[in-house]
Amino acid sequence: MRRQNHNLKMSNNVEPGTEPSEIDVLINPFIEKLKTRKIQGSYEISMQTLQLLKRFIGAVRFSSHEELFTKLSNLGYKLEKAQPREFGSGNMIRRLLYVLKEELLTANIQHGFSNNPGAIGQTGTLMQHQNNSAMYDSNKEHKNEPMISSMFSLLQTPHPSELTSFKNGTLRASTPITTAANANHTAFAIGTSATVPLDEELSANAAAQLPAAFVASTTSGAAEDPAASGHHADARSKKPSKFFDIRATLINAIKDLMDEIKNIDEGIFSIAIDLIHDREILLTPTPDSKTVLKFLLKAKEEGYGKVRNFTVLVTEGFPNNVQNAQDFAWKLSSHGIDTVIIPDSMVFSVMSRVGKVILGCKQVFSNGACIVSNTGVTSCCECAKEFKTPVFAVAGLYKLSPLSPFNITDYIEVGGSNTGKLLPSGNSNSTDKTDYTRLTMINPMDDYVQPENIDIVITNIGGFAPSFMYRVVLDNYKVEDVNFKPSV
Amino acid sequence: MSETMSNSVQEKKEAVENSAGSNETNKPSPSGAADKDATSSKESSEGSGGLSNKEMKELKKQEKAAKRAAKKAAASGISIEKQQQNAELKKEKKQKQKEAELKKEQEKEQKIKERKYGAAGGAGLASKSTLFGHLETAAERKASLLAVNAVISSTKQTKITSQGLSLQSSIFNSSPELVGQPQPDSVGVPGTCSIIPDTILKEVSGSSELTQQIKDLIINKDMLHKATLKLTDDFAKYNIVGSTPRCLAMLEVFKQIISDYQTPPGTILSRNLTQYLSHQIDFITKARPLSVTMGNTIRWLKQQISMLDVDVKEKDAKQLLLESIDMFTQEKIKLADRVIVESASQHIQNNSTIVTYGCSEVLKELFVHNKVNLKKDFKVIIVDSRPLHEGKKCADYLKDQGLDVMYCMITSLAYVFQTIDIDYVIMGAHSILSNGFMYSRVGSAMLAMTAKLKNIPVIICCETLKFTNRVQLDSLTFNELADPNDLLGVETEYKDKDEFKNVLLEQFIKDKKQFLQSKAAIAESGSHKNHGQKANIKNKHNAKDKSEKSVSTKQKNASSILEKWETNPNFNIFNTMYDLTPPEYISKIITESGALPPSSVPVIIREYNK
Repeated sequence: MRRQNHNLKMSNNVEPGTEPSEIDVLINPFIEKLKTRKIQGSYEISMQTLQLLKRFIGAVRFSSHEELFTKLSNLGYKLEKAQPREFGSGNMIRRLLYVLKEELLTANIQHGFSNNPGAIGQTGTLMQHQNNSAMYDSNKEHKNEPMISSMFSLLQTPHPSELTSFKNGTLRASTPITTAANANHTAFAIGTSATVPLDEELSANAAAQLPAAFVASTTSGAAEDPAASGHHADARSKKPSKFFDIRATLINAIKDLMDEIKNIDEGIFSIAIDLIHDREILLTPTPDSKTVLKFLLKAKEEGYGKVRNFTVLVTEGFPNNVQNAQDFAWKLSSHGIDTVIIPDSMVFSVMSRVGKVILGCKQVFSNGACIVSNTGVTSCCECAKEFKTPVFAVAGLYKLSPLSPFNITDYIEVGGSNTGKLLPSGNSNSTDKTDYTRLTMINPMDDYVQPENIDIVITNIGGFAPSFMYRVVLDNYKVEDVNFKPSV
Repeated sequence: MSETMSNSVQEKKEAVENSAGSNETNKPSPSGAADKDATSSKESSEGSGGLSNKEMKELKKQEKAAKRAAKKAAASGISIEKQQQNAELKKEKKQKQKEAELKKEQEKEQKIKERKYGAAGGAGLASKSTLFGHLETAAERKASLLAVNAVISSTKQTKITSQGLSLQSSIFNSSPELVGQPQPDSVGVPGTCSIIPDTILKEVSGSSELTQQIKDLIINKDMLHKATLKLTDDFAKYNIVGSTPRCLAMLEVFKQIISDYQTPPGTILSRNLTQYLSHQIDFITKARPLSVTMGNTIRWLKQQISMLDVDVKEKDAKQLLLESIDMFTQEKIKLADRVIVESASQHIQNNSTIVTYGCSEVLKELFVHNKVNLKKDFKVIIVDSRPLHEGKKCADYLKDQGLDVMYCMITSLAYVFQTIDIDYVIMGAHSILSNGFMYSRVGSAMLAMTAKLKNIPVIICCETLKFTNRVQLDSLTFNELADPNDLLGVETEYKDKDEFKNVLLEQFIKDKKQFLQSKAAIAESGSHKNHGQKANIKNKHNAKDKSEKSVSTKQKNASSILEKWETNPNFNIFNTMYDLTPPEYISKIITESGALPPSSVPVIIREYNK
C-alpha cells in the first residue's frame, strides 16, 4: 500500500524532464562495468540488469506510462550501447516492457479504458489485485486446455484480451511437466504468481479462485472463447477496486524473470534428455556453456530413472577457450562421463561417429540463428550438416532476442586478448628482426550459426524448430520495443 | 638342462592352475607363430605331460628369442660377445624362469586388485576410450624409442639376455634379499623396464607384438647408424615435418648410410644392404610412422638395390646407388615441384585472395614464385591449427619474401569465409589415395568442405610420388596418433622440444621412489616372500598417493589438473595427425603429369608409377 501512495504522490506532482540524478548514479556504474567487461556472460548480465531495473523502478519518476516506456527504452539504449555484443540487458528490458504493456492492455480492456492508457495516474484507478488475479486465473484455465485448441488459436489473429492467455496456453501445453509449482516458473509474463506472493491478500485471493477456475475451464472448454475469461473478469470486478500499481507490477515481473532465469535448467533438461540415447557420442563445441554442462551432468546422474551412459567430445576452441574446454572436460570426467578433448581441426574426422551436436548459445535470434561465444562452432555445425548429424541448441528463454541478424559482423567481436597468442614465435629461428606489419591476424571471439544448420532450439518452455522462433519471440516481446531509441 | 626345464615347467603348471580364474592372456605374438617349426619340438615332447598350450608357447618363445638374438648377432659380426652372453643367458635361465613364475603370480594379484578397485583403483593406466584402440599410440612409439636410446647411451652397463636387455644400476642391484622378489618392472619387457616408466609399460604390456618389436630393436641396436638416430630424433621432436621434407631428409641419411656401408664378409651387397636399411627404417618408424612418400621412396630404393649386378664392385655399386638417389630426388621432387608451380601459377591473378592450410613446401614455392618472379600482387590467408602450428612457419617465410599474409586459426574459418572474398583454396597433400580421397594434415577436410559450401574451387598441388594404392573410407580407421600431451598446454607455444623426455624422466623417478618405499615397507614387515602383502602395501601407497593428488589438484589451477589426466579413466585426449578429404570437395589435383580430377588418381598410379 505504501507503494500505491507513493505512486499517487509522484504521478501528481513530478514534472517530466527533471530527471533526478540518482538514476544516473544507479546506471552509470553498471554501464561502466559493462564497458570494462567486469560483468560477462548472458546469465550474469541478465541477472545484474534485473537487479538494476529493480532499483531503477524504485527511483524513476514518471507522470504517464508513455514516459515510463520512454525511460525504460532509453535505459535499454544506453545499456546496449555500452556493450553492443551482449544482449542480456536489452532482452530483459524488452521483456519487462512487454509484461507492463500487456498488463495495461488487459486492465484497460477489462475496465473499458481502452482508449486512454496514459491517464491512469489521474483518473484511472485500476484494480491491480483484481487484474492480477484475473491473469492468474486465465493462466490456470488455459493450462488445462488441449494442445489442439491452442494450435488453432495460434492461427488466428490474437485478440488483445487473449494475447497473454494464449501465450501461456501454448507454452504450457508444450511443456511436458505441468505441475503447478513448475508452471509458476514459466508464468513469467504475468504480474503475480502464487510462489511469489505480492502480499497475503493477493495470494489468498488467488487461492480462493483456483477451484472456480478449474471448474470454469472444464465447463467452457474452448480456449478461444473470449466470453469465458470475460465472464470471470466480470465476476471478480464486483470486488472492491484498487489502484493499479505500476511499480509493484514491475517489481513482480522482475522477480518472475529472475525466477525464470534461475530455473531454466529443469525445463531444458526435461526436453533434451529425451533426445539422447544410451551410449551415444555427443559433441559439444561450446565448452563454456553452463547450461550444457548442467544438462550433461544431470543426464548422467538422474535422468528420471533413465540413466544414460554417453561419451562427450569437447572441442578445444583455440585460442580463446582452451582453458574452459579443459575445465569443462575435467568436470564431466570426474562425474564419470567419458570425455574426450579433441583439437578443433579434428571435428570433421570424428563427425561421422557423432550422434548429436549440442550447442550452448549466447543468443538466439528471431530467425532461429544463434550466436555462440566460442569459435569454430559454425564450421562444426556445417560439418554436422554435411554428415546429417542433428544439432540441437540449448538456451534459456531469456537469451531469445527479437533482433534479426542482418549483418552478422555487428554481433561478432573480433580481436580479444588472446590474439597475441597467435603471433608467430619470432625467436624460434633466432631472426628476431622480422616485423609483423604485413601479417594480419584474425581472431573472432564469437561465432554465428545459421538457422539452417540447427535442427532444434531447446528452451526452458519447449523445443522449437528454428523457423518457429519468430513466433516465440512475438509471444515475449513487443514489436515496437525491438529497437530502443535514445531520448531526444 | 632338460631336468631343470621340466621342473620349472611343473612349477609353472601349478601357477597356471592357481590363476585359472584370472583372465591372463599370453597371446602368442605374430612372431610366435613361427613356433611351429621344429626347433623346440624336443622340449615339447619332454614336458608335454600336463602342459597347457599357453605355457608351451611361452617357453618356446623364450627359446626362439634367444636363438634369434644369437643369429642376428652373428650376422652383424659381433658374435663373440654375443656367445658369451648366450652362455651367461643359460646360467641365468633357471633363475629367470623362477622370476617369471613369480611375475605371473604378481600379475594375477594385480589383475584381481584392479578388478576390485575398478579401473582407477590399480596403479596402472585406467582403461581409456577405444575409438582409436586399433592405432599405435605415441606412448608406445616413445617407449621403444626411449628404451633403445637408453641402451645406446649406456652400453657398458648393459647385458643382453634372452628376455631382452637389463641395465645394471646401483639402485636395483639384485641384493640378496631381493633375489626372490619380483621386480616391479617385470611386467612388460623384462630388463628394459628399468629405463621405461611403469605407466608406459603398463600401457604397453598388453601387446606382445610391441614387446617383441622393442626386443628386436634393442638386439639390433649396434646396427643403427648414427645418422639414423639423429634423423629419428628430429622426426620425433617435429623438427622435420611435412612429408616431402621428411622424405628428403631420409634420402640424405640413406646416402650417408650407403657411403659408410661395408658389406660384411660372407654376404653380398644387394642382399645385405636391404636388410641393413630395413633395420634403420624400423627405428625411424618408431619416431613417426612412415609417410607415403617415404614408403614409395623406400620401395623404389630397395628395388634399385636388388637390381644391382652381383658382379659390380662394392665401391661402384655404392656410387651407382648414390647417383640414382640424387636423380630420384631431382626428378620426383625438385623438378616435379617446378612443373606443378608453373601449372598452378595460372590460378593466381592480381588482387586475388588465396587460402591455404598449414605449411606445404610446393605451395611456398608457388607463392614466392608468383610474387618474386611473376610480380603478381595477391593475398594469402594461412589457416593453421593446434598443436603443430606449421602455418606459423609458412607465414614467417612468406612474409619475409614480401607477401601479403593473413594468419588465422581453423576456428576462425567460418568468419574468414563469411567476411572476405576468396578466389581459391590451394592446399598441399600428404598423400592421395587411390579412391580419390586426400589424406592430409588434420583440418584440411574442414577447409575443403567450407570452400565447397561457398562454391570456391579447391585445388590440390601434389607430386605423383604421393599417390598411393591404398584405399580408405574415413579418417578414424587409419591415422597417426600424436602425443595427447601436446594439447595440454593452454599457451600457443609448442612445448619445449625436450620436455617430453623430462616428463618421462619424472615419471620414472617417481616410479622408482615408490618402488623403494614399498621395498622398505616390506623390509620392515620382514616378510620378503609374501607378495600379497607387498601388493597390498603398494596398493595402499597408491591410494595414499591418489588422495594426495586429489587434495592438491583442488588447489592447483586447471592446467595442472590436466597433468593428471592419465589417471582419470574417463578423461581422454585424441590427437590425430591426418584426416581424409572426400573427393567431392576437391576441384582438381595438379601434379607434374598434369592436372586431373580426383577420380583419375588410380589411372596415374597405374600408368606412371608401375
